[in-house]
Amino acid sequence: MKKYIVLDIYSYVSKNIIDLDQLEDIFHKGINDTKYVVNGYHVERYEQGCELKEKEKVVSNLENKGRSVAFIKECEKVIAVVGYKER
Amino acid sequence: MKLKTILLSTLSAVAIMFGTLAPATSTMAAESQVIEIDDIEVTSEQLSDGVTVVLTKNEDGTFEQTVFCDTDIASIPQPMATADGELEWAAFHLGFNDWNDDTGRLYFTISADEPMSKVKGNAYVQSTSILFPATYYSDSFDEALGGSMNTSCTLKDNVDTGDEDKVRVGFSSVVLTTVANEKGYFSNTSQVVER
Repeated sequence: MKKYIVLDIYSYVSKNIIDLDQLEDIFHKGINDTKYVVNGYHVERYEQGCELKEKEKVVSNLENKGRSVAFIKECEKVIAVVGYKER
Repeated sequence: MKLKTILLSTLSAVAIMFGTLAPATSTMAAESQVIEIDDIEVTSEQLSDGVTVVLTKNEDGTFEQTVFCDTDIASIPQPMATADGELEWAAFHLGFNDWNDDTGRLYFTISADEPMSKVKGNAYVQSTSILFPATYYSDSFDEALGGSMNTSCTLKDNVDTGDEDKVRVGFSSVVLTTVANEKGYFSNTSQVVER
């Protein structure tokens, strides 16, 4: 199983709801497990060419930096964008 | 370790401005105010690996900055977030971690009570020599924050520091712009970080 390093996290919710450490933990547990869901949050990898409904600029910036991109979602709403690379 | 809170001196010329120039007579409070904040994004690990500046807006409209370089998180002033379109507090942390062998990761974390549009400034990593400090990293940054509330970005994940056990990390001219186009100016500061 591949391991990853989180380099960037953009959170769109208050820290009182979920903080960056918690988001990073969700990322590590969910990036290799499509069935992983905790408190309604799950992880989705961003695939190039996929239509982006939101957060286009953030995703574009991360890609320009050479990061891989993933979303942390609550239902279908993006609550965080993660920039990462393989360890 | 005893909390060491550094209060910036009142300098009317360096008043915090949010969208408009502050009057020349504006001053920052001489004493740190303890207000409740729920959204400061700082952990003990962050405080020990760099320096944090917190902006808080006083009742009279002036702004106060507090620099934190210790690990007592409970002592950080915490204002209430109102999400009313007006920037009332923000926190900027510059950190240096994952310091393995000869390289470390330079990153920043920024949080505010309003959605953030972008943050720009300069960051550096230097030796602790007073007379002739070696520079291991020095560059500007201009990061789009996309309306986020809490963000952590890596500026460089392999800053080569040679065999140093201590380095100075610092930033200058850091400006936060919110989605509502308000601006928060963080005073220049630095902190020695130990491996």
